[in-house]
Amino acid sequence: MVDANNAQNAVLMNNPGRKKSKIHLYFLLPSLITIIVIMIVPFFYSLYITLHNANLLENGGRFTFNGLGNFISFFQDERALNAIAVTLKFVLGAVALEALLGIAISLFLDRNFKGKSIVRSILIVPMFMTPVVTGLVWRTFYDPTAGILNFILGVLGLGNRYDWLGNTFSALPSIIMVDVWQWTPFMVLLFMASLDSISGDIYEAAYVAGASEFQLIKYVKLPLLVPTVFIAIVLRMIDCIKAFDIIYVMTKGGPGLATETINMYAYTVGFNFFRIGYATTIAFVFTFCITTLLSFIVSKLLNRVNTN
Amino acid sequence: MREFKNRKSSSTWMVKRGLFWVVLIIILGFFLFPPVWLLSTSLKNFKDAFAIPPKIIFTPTFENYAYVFSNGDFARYILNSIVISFVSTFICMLLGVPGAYAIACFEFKRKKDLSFFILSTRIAPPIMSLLPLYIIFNKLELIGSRFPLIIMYILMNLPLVIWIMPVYFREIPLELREAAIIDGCSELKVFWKVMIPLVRSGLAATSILCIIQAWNEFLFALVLSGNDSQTLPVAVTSFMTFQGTQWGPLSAAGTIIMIPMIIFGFMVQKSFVKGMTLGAVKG
Repeated sequence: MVDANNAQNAVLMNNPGRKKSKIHLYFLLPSLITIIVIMIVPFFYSLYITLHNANLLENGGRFTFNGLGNFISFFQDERALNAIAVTLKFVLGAVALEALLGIAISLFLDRNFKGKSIVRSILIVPMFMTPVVTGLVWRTFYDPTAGILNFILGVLGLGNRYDWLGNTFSALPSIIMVDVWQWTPFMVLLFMASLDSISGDIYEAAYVAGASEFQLIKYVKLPLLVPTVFIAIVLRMIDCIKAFDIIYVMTKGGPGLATETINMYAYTVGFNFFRIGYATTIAFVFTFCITTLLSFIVSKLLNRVNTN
Repeated sequence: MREFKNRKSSSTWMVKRGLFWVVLIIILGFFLFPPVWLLSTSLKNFKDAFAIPPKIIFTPTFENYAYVFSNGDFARYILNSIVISFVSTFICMLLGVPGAYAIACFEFKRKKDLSFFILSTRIAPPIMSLLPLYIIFNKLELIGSRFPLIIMYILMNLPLVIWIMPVYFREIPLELREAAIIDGCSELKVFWKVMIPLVRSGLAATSILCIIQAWNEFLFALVLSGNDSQTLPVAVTSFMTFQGTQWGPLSAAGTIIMIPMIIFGFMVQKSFVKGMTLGAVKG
């Protein structure tokens, strides 16, 4: 099917009358101009800002040239270093847990039962719940005195005095838990779709060969799931790095700096301290590293998907 | 089918089956618990909301909803959210769909680089564009109007449209386009009269995804909105005050924000996997 399409495509494209056509440009221009105006222009403007001292509360907000001063401060800033570490822990922790749970649950659901489509619908719910609201609900769950979590632990006899979000050790894992709650279904739905597309012939062959349920998972399902797992992990990482809402409403980066991600730190510097120049530098370095790294991974991934 | 190997195992099969349902209910319970809890708290009075152990059976009250709407501002926040998310989505589709069509149906130099460049704008964390644009909007004295948020959400959703819509355009057989061109249709007419009607379901699903993204967005809304242009996610945090959090009204407001998006979510369920993976996984 795809090959046939490609062949037709080739015929259409090689048609000499159309080769010089610039029609596609007219279709592309509106979106390209928009992206350039509201993305590329600010990008260069932010480069300009990073080279200046810009504090909205001092000098009437005027910019004074500072050379690479902001970048030098960034690499000497321990708080920034901490923010990078927190971001890494958050992203890796959340995405790894989501992937593992996603694989487990999708394999568990990979059988015929009544109500499978209802299960799919239910799994949609967390993803579309507004993140701010999600964060607030979980904050009530984590509440040390009135929270349901401590209540349940108390009933089970495991103690009921934990201050989940007020404690340096448990604050970040507690926030990771919220992301896991919200986004594991994303993984599950992707993996379910991928498992559904495994052809019946393969199962037939495995059944004839006398494969056990466990062997079926190990030698058939998991290997076929791998490409989708990679895609899902990269997509989740892209979004996870952007996470701001749940952290803002649950801890605002605290206690101390235990949950302060780069996003949160740049926000605080920019909009609480009004040191726009330095905040932009933080965001700039961060974005540069992330975009380069993830774009590289994504392009490799897309090539693999396209060749398969 | 696989379970029916022989009759001897039928009782273990029963146990297995029972265990399956128990685990399934635990999993679904975990994922459904927070929204259900939010909804039920919003219908409880002040005393029931904080009862420990939690009250499962209670007399529902709408006093929290009445309280939320007693402040006239809340209706305005709803209006802001609706206007900003719908207008930005509409403009975004207007700009993005032709681009997606070009990427799906034309062959041109550096197409791969171009579509990849567009994708990379989605990878960049939003805080990057927020800071410079904040200064620009501030200088133009636009902060406080709905305009900056509409611009930001167009920026946020445009790459999404350009990456999702080609998936739908590619499903249309090329002969259709060819035939229309041979019949003497102009390119614009082919696009408008032939292609667009055929991707209607894709247009609907993509718009809904964009609306959901804009509706749920928080960081831009927090920084760029004033009291007159505040959207719901920012407004809901105002129930957390120095005197403490008003959980009842907050739950009511949270429910009002959440419900329409979950309904939208159900509507795009079918094309969701396709959309969220940019076509990399078939849904």
